[in-house]
Amino acid sequence: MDIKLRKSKKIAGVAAWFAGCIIMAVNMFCLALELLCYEDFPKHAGQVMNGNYQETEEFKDYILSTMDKFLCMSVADSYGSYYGGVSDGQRDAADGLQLQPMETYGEAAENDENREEREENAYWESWEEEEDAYWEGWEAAIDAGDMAGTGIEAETAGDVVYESDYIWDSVRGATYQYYDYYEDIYGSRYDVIYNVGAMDKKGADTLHGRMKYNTNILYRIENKGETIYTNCENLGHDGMGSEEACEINLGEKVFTMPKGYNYLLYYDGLTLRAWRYGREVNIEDFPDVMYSDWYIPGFGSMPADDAYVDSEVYMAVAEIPQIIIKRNFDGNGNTYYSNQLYSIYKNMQYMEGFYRNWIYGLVISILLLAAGFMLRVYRKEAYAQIAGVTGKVWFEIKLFPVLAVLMLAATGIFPQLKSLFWQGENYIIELYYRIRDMHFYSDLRIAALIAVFILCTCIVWTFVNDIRYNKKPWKKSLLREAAGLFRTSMLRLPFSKRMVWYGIWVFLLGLLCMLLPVTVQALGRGAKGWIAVCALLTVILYFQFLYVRNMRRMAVDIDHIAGMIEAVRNGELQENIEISKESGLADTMDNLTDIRKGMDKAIKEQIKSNRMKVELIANVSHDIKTPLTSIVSYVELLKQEEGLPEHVKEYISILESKSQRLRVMVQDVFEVSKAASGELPMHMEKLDFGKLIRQTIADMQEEIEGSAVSIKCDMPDAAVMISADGDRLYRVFQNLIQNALKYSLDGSRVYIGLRREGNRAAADVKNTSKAELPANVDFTERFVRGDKSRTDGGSGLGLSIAQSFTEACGGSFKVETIADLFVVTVGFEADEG
Amino acid sequence: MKERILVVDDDREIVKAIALLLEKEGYEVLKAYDGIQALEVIAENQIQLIIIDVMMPKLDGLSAVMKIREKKNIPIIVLSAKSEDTDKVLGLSMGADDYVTKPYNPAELAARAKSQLRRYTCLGDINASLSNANIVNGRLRYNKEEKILYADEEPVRLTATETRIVDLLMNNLGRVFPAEEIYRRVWNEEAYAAENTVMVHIRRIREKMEWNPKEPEYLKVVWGIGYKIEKK
Repeated sequence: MDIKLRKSKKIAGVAAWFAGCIIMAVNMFCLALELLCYEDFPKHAGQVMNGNYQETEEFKDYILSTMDKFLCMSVADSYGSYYGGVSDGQRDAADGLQLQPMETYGEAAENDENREEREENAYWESWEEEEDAYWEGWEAAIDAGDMAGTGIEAETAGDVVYESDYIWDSVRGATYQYYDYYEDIYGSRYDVIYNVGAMDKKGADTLHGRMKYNTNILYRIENKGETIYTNCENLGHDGMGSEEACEINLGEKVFTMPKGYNYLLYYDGLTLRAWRYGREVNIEDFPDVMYSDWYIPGFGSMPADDAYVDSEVYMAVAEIPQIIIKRNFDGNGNTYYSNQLYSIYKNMQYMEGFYRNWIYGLVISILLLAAGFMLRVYRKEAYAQIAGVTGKVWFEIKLFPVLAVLMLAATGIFPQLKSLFWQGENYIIELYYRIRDMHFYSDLRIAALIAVFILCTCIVWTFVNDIRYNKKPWKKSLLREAAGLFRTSMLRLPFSKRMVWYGIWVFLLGLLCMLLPVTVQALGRGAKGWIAVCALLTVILYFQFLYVRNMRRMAVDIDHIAGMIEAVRNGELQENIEISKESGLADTMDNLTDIRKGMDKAIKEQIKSNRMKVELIANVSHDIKTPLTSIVSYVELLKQEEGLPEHVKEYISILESKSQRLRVMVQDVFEVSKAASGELPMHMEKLDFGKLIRQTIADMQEEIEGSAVSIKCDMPDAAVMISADGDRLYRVFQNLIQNALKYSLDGSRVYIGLRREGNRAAADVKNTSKAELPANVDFTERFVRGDKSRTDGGSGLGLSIAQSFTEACGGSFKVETIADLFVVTVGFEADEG
Repeated sequence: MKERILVVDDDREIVKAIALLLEKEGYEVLKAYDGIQALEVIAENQIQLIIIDVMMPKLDGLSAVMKIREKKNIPIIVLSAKSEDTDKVLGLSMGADDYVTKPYNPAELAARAKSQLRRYTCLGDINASLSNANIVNGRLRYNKEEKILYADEEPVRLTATETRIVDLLMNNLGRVFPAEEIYRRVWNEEAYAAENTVMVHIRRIREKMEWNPKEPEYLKVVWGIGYKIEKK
């Protein structure tokens, strides 16, 4: 229940707001244009809303111009009409107007200097003309076909609404035709031909022939006391009998009008007077309408023309104008008589309805907006819900209608703007009239227009709502999905094939570039060609951008891989470089990462096992030391024992030497394992390599002298400075020399050399082996010896210690055997100087 | 009065061996087999020197040293199988006077014990008899005027050349002399094959003054640079 209520609230909120907005927008649009159309809109609106068509300016214009015509008719046989007089009498029924080039403004382009000014004048004059033509066009259209027809009066407008509406539309259609006609003439010519006609007897007769059927206006025209034209014999005379509806008492005269007529104009030869419902209307109050300069005697300071002195005109106007149609039975269609009054009446009624609708619309829209505002929470929810639905739709489906709407707007509005630029605001007004004066309820076009407007609004609103509520709705687009599909299919390809695809890509781009001149050739150099070229260029540039971006990404990835390889080579195994999954090198990178991790793991394990080994050796050596201590102690005690037999003393000395050897071995094993695992504390200092070797030899002088070999030195006198731990390096050479003394052939020489090679100092110890040197043996391996007996005093760790210590000091240690020559080279980076 | 030495080690044979060694030198030896026992013995007896192992049950040697140091100023020699520098530094900083690694050299241990005892018992006399003419460095004393080197207050018999070398090094404690300089200043000749000659003399001096000439404490070779007497 609650959910249902909520849902209906949402729908109501959205609908109310939407409808309110639309109605308000249309209303405001109309209001703005109405304001633009009428100089004094409030007055106009007041007149319309007053409901009395006889108060409108159109009416006043009309009756005055009609009176003008009657005046002309009254003197038609003797004088021509005034300047500005309407020459309806001479109009041809077919085109309604006869243009007579009798006068021109601005002396017909004789003086080019004034041309511009003249043009401008002419422009505005032409507008005036058009305006004239507009109203006259009505009349002309209504009068058209008069010649052929036999008159028959139509039913009253009220009885057959449809028919009258139809007729009315036809009338208006005709008006526009004339309008266009005028536009053709005046819009394209500088020299404006002013329409001046002269009315003669024949013209007056023709006019009368037409106007007499127009029972909306009754008239009686007298000259010198004689009625010359009339369609109501008794008009203005006293006593129209029982029919009279209205009497106007002028004191000496009493005018009467038939029933249904309430407005009387009377020209007595000097002035014009008017009565409405028996009350006199002040002619001076008649508005000075923009285009009206009626030369009606009695107006302002306008004196009566001498010609009119003998004229007397009575004119009565119907209270409610009727449409007058004469049916043409033998010809085609019907004949419309001068229904201008009817049009004014109908028009006003229509405008009244229009304004009323406007007010209703305003009220309704405000109510709807208020309702929408009250339900704004639900409305927002509904928006989000709608956005949720639209979010599932591909973006293109939403975008294209919007683009279509924009196109429509552009194509619809742009020419109008162009026209507006050339014709000013009047163009808009005219356009607006056309739209407004279409019947709202009967004309499908206006309904369609409104429907299209609502549809467009809906489309645009949906689009905006989508963008507002959905995060980056363009992410869900057909194009994107297609691209995604393409990309995933690319991803499945191996790297090499993808590179080939990129090559094809470049090829296609080249092909597109080649299409450029072809396009220009095909479409020409006009706008179409340019648009096509621009579109093509955009596509090319976009794909080039994609290509460059892909290549860049790939280059970065390759760079990463290179960096990774280098990092692995440098032993930096912790580094973790991410690489995009799309590049196709991701697998390679993964493999590399695996290798790196494997190496990292292996090295860590190696370090761990090394540390464990050192710990084990340390523990073992410690455990060995304790019993060794006892052995050494008691051997010492035994040694001090006196009175022992000689052979026992010999045994004791053997025990002593072996226990000493064991001690040395334990120490060596401990040290070499520590050095190998890099846990030996080092005290690096600058020292003289040569001096160190000399000192070592000197230190071992006794051993050397006690051995069967001699030592030959070849060392520079100059100091060879290196960085090393002196104590450790001493052990290195001690071990090397001890080794050499121990394993050299008796009587041979041990050569110790030191030399500088560039920035390296290399010392070597060469000796000739006593025993045959086995091939392919790494002598630096722990417990490896030239001979396999393991009986001679050494621990088997000598070279191993030497190598470990050398490398711990940052030097290089190399063992070579050439036949029986055993060469150990210890190299260090030499310091300058 | 016989000096009384306490030997502490969980290895009874080692204690016995050390006891035999020291008794031969004429000291009275008390024995203990763990830290707690050692503390008890110290509390009950007048003791002049302690030789103590580090790794023992109940209370380890270093903790025992710290406990002893809280009350007594007796010289302590730590005897340990741990031979690393860091272990030595740790032991000495805990309050031990000397640090001997296992397996020890019995003669050296006896000499060290003797040295510690002498310094402990005769310290007052030595300080009183010292004048400006003496350079004291650890257990070494060099009388500049008499040109006699004493080790553990016993004169070291040196030859004239050796005395000149000692004179040079003792007067510049801690300074490293290259062989050439020593040769020039001692022999007053230009150095020729100096390294060997100097080394021979250094070795001889070591044999006379050091407890263990293979691991000298004072007269050291600075490898690749020269020679010095360590400043203690």
